[in-house]
Amino acid sequence: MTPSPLLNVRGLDVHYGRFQALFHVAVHVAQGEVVALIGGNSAGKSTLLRAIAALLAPSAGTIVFSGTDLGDLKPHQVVALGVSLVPEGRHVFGSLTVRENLLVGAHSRRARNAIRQSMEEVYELFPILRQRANIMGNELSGGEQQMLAIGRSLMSGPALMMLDEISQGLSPLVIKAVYRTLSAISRTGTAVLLVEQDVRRSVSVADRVYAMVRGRAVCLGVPGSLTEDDLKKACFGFELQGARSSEGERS
Amino acid sequence: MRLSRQPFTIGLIVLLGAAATMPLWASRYWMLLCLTFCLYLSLAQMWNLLAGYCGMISLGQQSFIGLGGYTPAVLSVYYGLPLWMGVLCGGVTALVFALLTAVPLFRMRGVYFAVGTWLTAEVLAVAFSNWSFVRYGMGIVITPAYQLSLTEMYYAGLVMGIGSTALVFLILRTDLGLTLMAVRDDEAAAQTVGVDVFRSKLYGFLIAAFVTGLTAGLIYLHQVFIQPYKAFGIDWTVRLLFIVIIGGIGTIEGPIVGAVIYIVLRQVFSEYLDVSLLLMGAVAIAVMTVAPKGIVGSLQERFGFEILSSRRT
Repeated sequence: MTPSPLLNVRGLDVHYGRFQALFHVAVHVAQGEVVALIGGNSAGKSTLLRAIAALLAPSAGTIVFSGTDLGDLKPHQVVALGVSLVPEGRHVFGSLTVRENLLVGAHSRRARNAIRQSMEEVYELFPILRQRANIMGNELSGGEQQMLAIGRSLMSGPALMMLDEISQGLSPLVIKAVYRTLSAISRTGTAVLLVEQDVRRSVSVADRVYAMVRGRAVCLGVPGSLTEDDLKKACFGFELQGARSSEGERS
Repeated sequence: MRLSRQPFTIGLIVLLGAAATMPLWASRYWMLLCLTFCLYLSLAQMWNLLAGYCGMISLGQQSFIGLGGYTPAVLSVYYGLPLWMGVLCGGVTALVFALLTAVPLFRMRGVYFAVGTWLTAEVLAVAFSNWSFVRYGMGIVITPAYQLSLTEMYYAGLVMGIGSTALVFLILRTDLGLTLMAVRDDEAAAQTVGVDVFRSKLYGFLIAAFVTGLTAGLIYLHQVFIQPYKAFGIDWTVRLLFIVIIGGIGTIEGPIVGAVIYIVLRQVFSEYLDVSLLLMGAVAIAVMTVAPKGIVGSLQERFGFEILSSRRT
């Protein structure tokens, strides 16, 4: 018998006023799995993450996390259950120090020891944050802010981490460092749902890939079975210049 | 450049000692000035808690001031309740009113919230000026308040001034303070990390309403007379805005410096009553031009020190 997934989204519709952004979306994520959600602009990727985080109310469908229906929950209750979101654009708290940003991330936890331990783990993943612990969030570089946003999200002790466009506006070296930490995070058993426009990068770390096209999600399968052509057809419908195969990227 | 805190700590202790013994050595004039300073400081700290730390720019603090003033007036004049009990009830009335208005007001953001709070106060002003129970716009003379000595009033005001400052300092060092500042910086991001935004803002709003209501009770016991269009007038919030903006919004020391400047200017310009508001406005513009973050905010930025720091290191 297949174990029930950690996150199970079924038949999800989301509207912005009269505009329908998601159409019967079905996505599932198992414990410890890294799932990439790829697609072009306005495909509905961020909308899906926001709906799972209870920042948007679905008009139909169910979102079940760890056996609990998230339908009527508030965003803070969803975080307390173990779902965290690293929003697009980082959104660190500019007037708070790095350490204070991390403490806000641990807001849903009560045990002081667990908070201390999580902070140590974040500092181990991102040593630069330890050095900058007393620096204000708005004084950090873009890469450091992204690390802080991921670290802050980890402070809630999530079982599922959702990351929205984490490579946006970062240098290739920083992107590489950030992606290395994603692998480390998934090794601890935390599931990752990754939204990226950088298809090759996200597919390279994923266990499974979904494509979103005009508000509909299509499961493409495991990266090893996907050709470059599959990705192009599913996501964009146009040729990617100089693209390599996802298998080649993984090897 | 880092400044040592020791001289400030010593200075603070000396000031507190002087304030505590003031009735023994100071004249009535200085005690009145100090009392006024303490009461404005308390109101300003609460406006700063809302605007500077919660990101809620309220133009309706006069709602809590009016309710906090009318409650002890009505309870002591009509029902013979002890004055201090009436002041406490005034704080509770303001708190209950804040609780009732929080849901509709929190649905508004930014300038809409500001206008919403202002209109709420205007509704109260109109309601009270048409309410026979509170003698319409003629107001109520709080006759039992004549029994209070200046020393009693002074110590009550001192407790409010110091207490409100200490309260803000302590709140900022708690989990609530941290989440309030996070919500102020980025409400959407605060939600994604598990902050219950509504509850955090509500707590900030209720605390500010309660303390403002208590302080207003003291102000009107001191003035002995309350009228709706004065008590619920926007002048109150304008004064608080002046104090906090020139002192330094989002700093604990800002309202202290701002309140000192306000009291001094009020005394200096009292001879030129017709143009005193104009002169105060000119001072505010000059300060904002030279020090956009207020006097304390700009000094903190330049020298990197905070006397009453809420930072977690």
